[in-house]
Amino acid sequence: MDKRKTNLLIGLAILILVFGGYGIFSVSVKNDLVRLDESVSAAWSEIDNQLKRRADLIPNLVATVKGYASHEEEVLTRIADARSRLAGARTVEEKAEGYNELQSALSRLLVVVENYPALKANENFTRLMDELAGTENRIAVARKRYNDYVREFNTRIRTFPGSLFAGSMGFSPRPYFEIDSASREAPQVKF
Amino acid sequence: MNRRFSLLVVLLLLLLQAGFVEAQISYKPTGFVNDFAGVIDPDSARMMEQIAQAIEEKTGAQVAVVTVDSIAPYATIEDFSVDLAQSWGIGRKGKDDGVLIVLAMKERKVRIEVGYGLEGAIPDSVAGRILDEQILPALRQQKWGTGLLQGMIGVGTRIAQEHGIDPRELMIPASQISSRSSRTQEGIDLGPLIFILIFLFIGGGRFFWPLLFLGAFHPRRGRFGGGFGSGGFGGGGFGGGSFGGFGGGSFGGGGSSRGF
Repeated sequence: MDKRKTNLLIGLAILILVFGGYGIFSVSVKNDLVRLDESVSAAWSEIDNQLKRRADLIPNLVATVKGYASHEEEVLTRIADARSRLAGARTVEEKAEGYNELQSALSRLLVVVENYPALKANENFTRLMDELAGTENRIAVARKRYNDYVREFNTRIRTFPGSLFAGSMGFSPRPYFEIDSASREAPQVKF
Repeated sequence: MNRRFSLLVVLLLLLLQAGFVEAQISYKPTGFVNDFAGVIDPDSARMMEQIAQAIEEKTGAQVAVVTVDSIAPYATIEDFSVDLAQSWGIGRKGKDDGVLIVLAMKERKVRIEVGYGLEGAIPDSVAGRILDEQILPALRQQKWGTGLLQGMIGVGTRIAQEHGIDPRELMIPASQISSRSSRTQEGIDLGPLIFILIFLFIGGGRFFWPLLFLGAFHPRRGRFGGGFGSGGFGGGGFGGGSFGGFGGGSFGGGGSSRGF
């Protein structure tokens, strides 16, 4: 074969390799981003479900408390209001705010309940408090996992190579779920 | 010179394997019952192991018990329990049917941690009730083993009911348990095996036979490998039977806690 033809073929081969390589590379990066995005969404669902469950427990709680402490209007109204706010929240930030409000209303209630030993001894009340504590714990666990995924996702779309494709894929940084409860960092323990 | 050096390396690697160099807190499962605080009486411990085995055989669920002197550096027993349970992977992967009962002596807290898959059988309020009615009374009398045993029975009962099994089937008499030890299998522990390969390199085969007898082959509870535990040399289980591990179940923070 003459030299020109060989060079042409070599040039063509290189072009195919480069484009092919880039193709594989970009698909792989894009898939990773999609997977992470899905992980973030799934982790958010977990938080959302628990928030809803927590809100659903409230009416029963209010009714039980009213049976023993009917004069504690203010606290009960605050809780009911906070619950409505949470129900109406749409964005991650709004839900975090709603959660914080409900938290502070509930902690007020716990203080008040100390004055009603009969209420504290009520089996329904104990059960509700267990369930509420359960949702609180689950939200804390879900929040840590969600925020971990968000951190990973946000980092990936802002650094190479994710940053190359994030814009065209419509990916922008997702919000952290910031609530007032103490940050749950995992200490250095080997399990 | 070369010989002394390789001897030194052998000793060093042996020490690392044995875990002397580990400075941080390390909790590795030794079975269903993990009495790190050393407060459970032998009878209760034995019964709990038996019941836990029965639960696993009849339902597949894994119920583990852990006692610790302190949950430090964790701040709350909730954080400690969910991290421990998740890390050990109690329960079957996918089914997530694991339960962990934790007793923290210094903080005077007890918790039942329930895996995702059992949140229907043991909702938080039921976990709370098991704590109140079955575990706490014994704990208040400082009967740690009894309390935890009662807790395991309570948990096992709920799991059995969920599977439509008569809970009494879980309370098998001791005489029938010894025949079940056929569950443990001969398996190869990877840790020492790697060392053997290294020594072959260094010592030219001279160390092979002694090491082989030291502990490369010993009974394991069901699972192959897993000799590395978490990171590097710490998990070899050199000498004596070692626990194969749990099934990889996941936890979401369900359960309940009490102070005592």
